[in-house]
Amino acid sequence: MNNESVNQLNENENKGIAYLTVRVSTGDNAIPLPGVKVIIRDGDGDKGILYNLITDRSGETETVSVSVPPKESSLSPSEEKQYGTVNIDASLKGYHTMTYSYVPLFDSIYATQLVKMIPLSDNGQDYIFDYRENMQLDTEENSL
Amino acid sequence: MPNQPIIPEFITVHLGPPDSNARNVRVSFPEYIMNVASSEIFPTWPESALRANIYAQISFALNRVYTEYYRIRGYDFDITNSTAIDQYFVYGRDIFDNIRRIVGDIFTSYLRRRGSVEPLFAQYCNGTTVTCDGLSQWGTVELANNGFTPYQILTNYYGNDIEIVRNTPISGNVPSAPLIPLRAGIANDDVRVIQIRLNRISTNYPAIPKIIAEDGIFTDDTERAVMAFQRVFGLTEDGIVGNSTWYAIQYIYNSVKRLNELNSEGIRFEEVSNELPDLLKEGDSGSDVAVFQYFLSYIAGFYDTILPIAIDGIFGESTRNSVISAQKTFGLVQDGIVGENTWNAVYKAYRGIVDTIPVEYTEGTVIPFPGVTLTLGSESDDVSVLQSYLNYIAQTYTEIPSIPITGYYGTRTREAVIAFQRRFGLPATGRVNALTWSAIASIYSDLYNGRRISDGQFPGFEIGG
Repeated sequence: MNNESVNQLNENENKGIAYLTVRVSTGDNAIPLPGVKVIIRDGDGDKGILYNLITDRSGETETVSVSVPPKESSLSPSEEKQYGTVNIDASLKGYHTMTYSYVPLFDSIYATQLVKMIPLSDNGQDYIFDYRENMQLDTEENSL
Repeated sequence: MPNQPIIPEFITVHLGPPDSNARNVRVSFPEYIMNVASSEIFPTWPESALRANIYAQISFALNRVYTEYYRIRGYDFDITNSTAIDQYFVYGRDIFDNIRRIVGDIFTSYLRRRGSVEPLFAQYCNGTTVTCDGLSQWGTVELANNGFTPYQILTNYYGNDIEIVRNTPISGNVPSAPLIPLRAGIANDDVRVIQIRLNRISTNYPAIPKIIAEDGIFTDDTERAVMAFQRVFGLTEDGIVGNSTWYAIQYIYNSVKRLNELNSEGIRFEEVSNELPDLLKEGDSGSDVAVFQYFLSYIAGFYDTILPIAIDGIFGESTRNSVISAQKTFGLVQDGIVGENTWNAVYKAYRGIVDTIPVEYTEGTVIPFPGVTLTLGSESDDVSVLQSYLNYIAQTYTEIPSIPITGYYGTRTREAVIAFQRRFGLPATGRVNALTWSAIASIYSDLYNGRRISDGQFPGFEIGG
């Protein structure tokens, strides 16, 4: 870590670009789901909406780009942020809404978020299960 | 323990320390490694470092499976995601495309010590806050930057007496990839398998164009279909079927097929009452058990925390484990006994699926085995069905003679059955028992469903001039 001022640090923080595609299916990839509303939010601060997307007949969104820390920050051990994160919501009538929190994204790397949707059961209120995955990569045991 | 290690088709991961009451999730083995690799290391690292780490991750997991480490201790899973003892696995995470491609390429390879049979228990750690007697994750980056190949990185940490075993067979319904990748100019049976399976997949994924002639010759339209498949499923779009693409096609095909087979199976239970009989528990058997096993297996295709089981009417240990996995998923008491709450939860989940997914995915398109072996002299509607299936298949597999559909099982029908049995590796008895019927129905289903075209789907030929 060199001696940059705080202002310069903020400017350099998100000079990298990551790429993300979301692909939605049900039945373990047997059935692609078109028409799914996918909302991608900034996972780092105010959770503002970055993208509002709809899946195509393969169940895929277009590939979008997200500002993230530059690649160099992940090429050696560092206390600084080495990747960016987003939140993803996928919803379709008749299915449980799936939410993914703090999805990691890396500079110059293409990532795919697979969404395995589950049809609502008739008595859905009784059997809601939470698919929010808290992607905390920074616990002691598994940190890099 | 089996003699030679094989790659498991699926692996069951416990989402916590071994004795915690966490859920188990069942994922395909390549998907598991893609998740581990995306979680343990950074995708921005040099390729040599990524590969070395991934070989270690594969070997570690295979060692757990081969030694049945958790199973022999009475647990109902293969590995945990507790990083203190196993590998990091983040259920439902994003996967990095470059890692997907590397894993697709090498997940049938593992490390072992020369002279040993079992996969190397390849321990590793980050190499900064934690050091260990094995691979250092950050250390691999430095070595890769200094020009080390993956093998050189691995021998650096694990010793010179390790070797990489490649092209390991996979258990279950996953045929091994051909040693030479399939591409334009190649003609063989593996090409035909790919053509039929891609056509079957494309019925569900219409962005993949149909391949007109399923004849084993790798033509332009075969290449187009392969590239479209690669695009949808995040693989390198080169139109070549190497390891990565071959196995991706097999796994997607298996999922598509499984749903179809369950739908066909369901025809058997259409007449059965959907009310809960008395309590069902381990030791019971009969049609009530079979019906419940059917519902469980059906929903297991949609909930990866529920274990699928054979529909055999016998409530044994695997049925009990599956019931517990469903109870865990739905927040019910985990006693392995099917009482009213468990029955209702499973049945409602099943109804929810069948009522929600588009109807074309719930139709069974083949008739299940009629329950009586068909043979020379048989005469019935079932024989007519058999003859029509064989005729359809004969259009693609020309070594099977076409036959008239008469409903009478004469010598010509017997010849066609024997030709089918020879072609598909079944005993050439000339009689159609459950095994032969299922095989015929399965091939028929692939070919028939492979030809169904959706709105806007490219049919594989040019329209107009």
